[in-house]
Amino acid sequence: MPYSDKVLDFMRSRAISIGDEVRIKVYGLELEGYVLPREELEFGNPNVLLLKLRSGYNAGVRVDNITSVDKLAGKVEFERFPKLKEVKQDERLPPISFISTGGTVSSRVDYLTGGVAMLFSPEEMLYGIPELSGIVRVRTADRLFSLASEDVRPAQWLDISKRVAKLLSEGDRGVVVLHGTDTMHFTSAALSFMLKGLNGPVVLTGAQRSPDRGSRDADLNVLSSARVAAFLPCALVCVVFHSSPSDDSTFVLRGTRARKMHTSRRDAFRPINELPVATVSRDGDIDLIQRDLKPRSDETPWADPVFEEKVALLSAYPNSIPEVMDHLLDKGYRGFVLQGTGLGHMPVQTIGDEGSWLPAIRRAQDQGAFVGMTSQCIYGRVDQFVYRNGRLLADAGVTFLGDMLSEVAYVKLGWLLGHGYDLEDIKKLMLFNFAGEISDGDNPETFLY
Amino acid sequence: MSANHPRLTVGLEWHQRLKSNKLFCDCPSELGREPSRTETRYLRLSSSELGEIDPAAMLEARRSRRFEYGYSADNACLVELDEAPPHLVNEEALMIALKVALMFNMRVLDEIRVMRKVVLDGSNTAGFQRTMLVAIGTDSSRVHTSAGDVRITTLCLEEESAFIVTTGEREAAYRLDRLGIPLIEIATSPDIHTPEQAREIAEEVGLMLRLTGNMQRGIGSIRQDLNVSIEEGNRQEIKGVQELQQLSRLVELEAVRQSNLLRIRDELKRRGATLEQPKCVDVTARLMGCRSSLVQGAIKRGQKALCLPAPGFEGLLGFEIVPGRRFGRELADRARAWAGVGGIIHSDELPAYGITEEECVFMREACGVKPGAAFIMVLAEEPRATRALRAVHDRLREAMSGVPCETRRANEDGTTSYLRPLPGAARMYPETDLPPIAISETMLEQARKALPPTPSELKERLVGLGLSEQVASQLIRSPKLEIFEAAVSQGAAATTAATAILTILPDLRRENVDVESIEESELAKGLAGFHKLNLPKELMEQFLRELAARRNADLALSALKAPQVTEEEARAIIKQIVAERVDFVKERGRDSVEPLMGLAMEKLKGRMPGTDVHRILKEEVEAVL
Repeated sequence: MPYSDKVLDFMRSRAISIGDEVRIKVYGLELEGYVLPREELEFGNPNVLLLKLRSGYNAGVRVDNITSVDKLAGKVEFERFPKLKEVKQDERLPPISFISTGGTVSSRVDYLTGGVAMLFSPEEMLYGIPELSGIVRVRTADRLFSLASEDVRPAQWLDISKRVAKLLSEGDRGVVVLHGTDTMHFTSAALSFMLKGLNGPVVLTGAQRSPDRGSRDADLNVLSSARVAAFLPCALVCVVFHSSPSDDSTFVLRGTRARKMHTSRRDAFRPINELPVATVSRDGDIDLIQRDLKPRSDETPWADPVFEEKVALLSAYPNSIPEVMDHLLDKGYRGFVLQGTGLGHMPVQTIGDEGSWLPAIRRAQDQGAFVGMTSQCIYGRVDQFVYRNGRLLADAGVTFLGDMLSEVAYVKLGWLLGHGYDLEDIKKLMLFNFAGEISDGDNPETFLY
Repeated sequence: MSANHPRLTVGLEWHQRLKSNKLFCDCPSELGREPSRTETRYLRLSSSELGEIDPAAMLEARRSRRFEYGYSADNACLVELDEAPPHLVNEEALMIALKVALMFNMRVLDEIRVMRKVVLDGSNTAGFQRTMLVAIGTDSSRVHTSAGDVRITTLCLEEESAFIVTTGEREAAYRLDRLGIPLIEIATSPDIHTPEQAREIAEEVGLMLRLTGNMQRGIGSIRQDLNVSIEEGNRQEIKGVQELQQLSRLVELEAVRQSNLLRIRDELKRRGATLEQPKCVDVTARLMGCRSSLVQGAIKRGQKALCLPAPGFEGLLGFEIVPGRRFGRELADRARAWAGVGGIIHSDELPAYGITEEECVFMREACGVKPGAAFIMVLAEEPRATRALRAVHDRLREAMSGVPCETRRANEDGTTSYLRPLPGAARMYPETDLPPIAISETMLEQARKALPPTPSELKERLVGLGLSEQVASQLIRSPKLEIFEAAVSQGAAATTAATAILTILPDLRRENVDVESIEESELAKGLAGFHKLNLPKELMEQFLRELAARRNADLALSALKAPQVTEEEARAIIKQIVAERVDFVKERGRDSVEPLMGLAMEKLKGRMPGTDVHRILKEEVEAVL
């Protein structure tokens, strides 16, 4: 809650405002400090005046208890950051560009209020992570938008893909996209499908820790990303993130095989159903783990930015309701990815057929909507033949999507539908490998890697 | 000594660990076994700090060290690892803090805000320590001492840092078991004017805290920091005083140090000394032929010999500012802290280390100073050597205006060494992962109800249990009071338990009986069991020996239950003693009871209470008369 009217009235009547240095008398004590602003969504008591005391502590004092206020000479301005000088860069180093889309990684903290501001420029990058200037030349660094990753929508994927294609064709060796972590793997999948003729790496990275703290993970993630953008010998979309809770090394994960697997750990992003593409050590050594990757080339990249938004990702669980699918079909939805249980199942042979998904799935077929099956197990591949329920689903027209991640299948489906293909083509194309998202491999080492 | 420094002002700060789970997670506040896992981290300065960075933070950041964190899942979780956001403030710990605030008549803030205090030495995985100001002292927040009242000014609740295992120039290793244990920090205003008063207040506050029953005990569970200054001097924060006995000596020596630094300043003024911009002169080439193995070794390792002229400081570098520490040591401390060099060499100690007078002349020439002028030399690789001399130069400059504000570490001998500059307020900003804590009247009421008795109330109660005034006072000041209370609440006899705790256990310790390893809970249980079995108090010493050996109250008690005698058996034994000495009894009459008591107890000690033996003996003596 922001300050209550009571506090605002109090401040008006005493002619003090945010940032003023004051001496107040309260409970018979004198306190000196600066008047702090109060955020809109702050918890606590809105009837207290917040002060930054001389000791550095912030403290709240109920205005009712304040017996006198003296305005002192000082005044501070909050959320004012020192202007950074231009940095001279080494022209011989490989050029890369940064695109900021928001999230923890590209924010900056006001140490007085704790407020976070989004700032972004090449100077900002170089001041923040001075080591960059010895590794790459930051050709451009732009803020495309500032969104928490859960607020990113398909329209933003299209914007990012267009911007990346432009930067790569202008001569960057690679591009680093700074992104909120929660849906980074959706965006990385989207870029994997939408970017064509890639000539170098497109790296998504972010941070799990806030940028104010000495322990932040962003710096290593960004440094490794810059190295990958400049020096990885491959042309692919990837996610670069801590490989463990230590600051020792980072993973390079294929954009269609990365998934956020922990809410808060630094090493939240793990490779699913395949090994990492590479690791990058703290010292900058890039160790390729996967072979057979597309090498860098002289092609001119271009974006294929289309997306059909009438697609849905639905989940199976005991008592999951097929009416959801019916409702979406009524609304004209054209494709569904089902996150089935185990090998890829939905409830279909329940007692009395209550809650069976078969009728809804058949109806989808009749309306020409695609239905694909992935597994909520996350690891492993789906299989339609092992159990009768799988066969029933396949018989009803469900396409089983191998070892593809649910989120990736969802993005892929929207992208394919955006091209206007018919159902039979979609069924074939969903099983076609565009960006390493589907394979026949079953490497036992990949589980919980 | 204190009489020589009437202008001495001292403030004290206590950091006391609380008995409750960790402050921001659910881990137990226990120092655990050997860590089973390790993570490696590096701490970095934030870009937001550029331009306005706290010097203490800058010092650590320049080092860019590697930190190893050892942990075990028994007592550390993702929160300590800085891999998950903090949980809400532990309510139990908050209530203890409120209670202590009220105990000192402090005013609890209406809204408490958790702050992040930047700490880049690796002792906190996050790069900051979480701390909150809970209460502020009022006019009645006073602790009495014989030399006048001392005011309590602030009370903070904060998390303990990680335990440092090893530290080096490039890396440090920590353990996470200690990180996050709740601490209260209590500070006084600088009302303390003598070393004795410092000791007195420390004892008094320690006692009050103990009486809450919520404080962890044992080594390291309480730390005292001192703020010492003398008139014209400057505030020094002295960290890590663990022993009360050390306090007076530290205060005394700090006063001496500051007054000697002021003497150095006055002498520099008298000499009209000025310092130019730092000029580091490379004298490596001039020392190629030097016979000193120190110099030759350094040159072989690729290090440089750099000199900094310090004209005006002749004789002052070697001036002893506290016993065993010369002014040169202050310079060396700085060079070590800021550049990680092993030390410095200054002209007041030369010729020495195989460096000749002739070479000193060379060096002075190279520095462009007059014969006899002071200079500082350092042997290290670049750019470390230059950084070291710049730090020395800063310290020399500060010497001209007196006493610099510093954070210093307490050494065992009562002297102190430089740790870092005093932190400023810029180091604190809000913990954005946690909501503010509004303090309600209900919470305060709850804390008020849980207030411990004051020392005098407690004394009254102890006397009511049958203890003498003297034993009661002794017990209140004893760290073992809690064990006594626990034992009595479980049914132990107050006087026996007090004797066991205050007299017998210390005696046994002097005999090197391993009484330290007796768990407190076993001791309390044993003292209660002892009483319930109606064992004679003469057996207490034996019982405690058994307990020290077996560490288990039940085992010790059963080992002790020597076969008891019935009244008839005892009477038979006593009858025989009387019969064998019937002449003596007849001659002395009733006065023979006391001399015979010794003989009777020899046979019956531990098998029957002494009072019963006495009664039967008296009856038997009377029967013969």
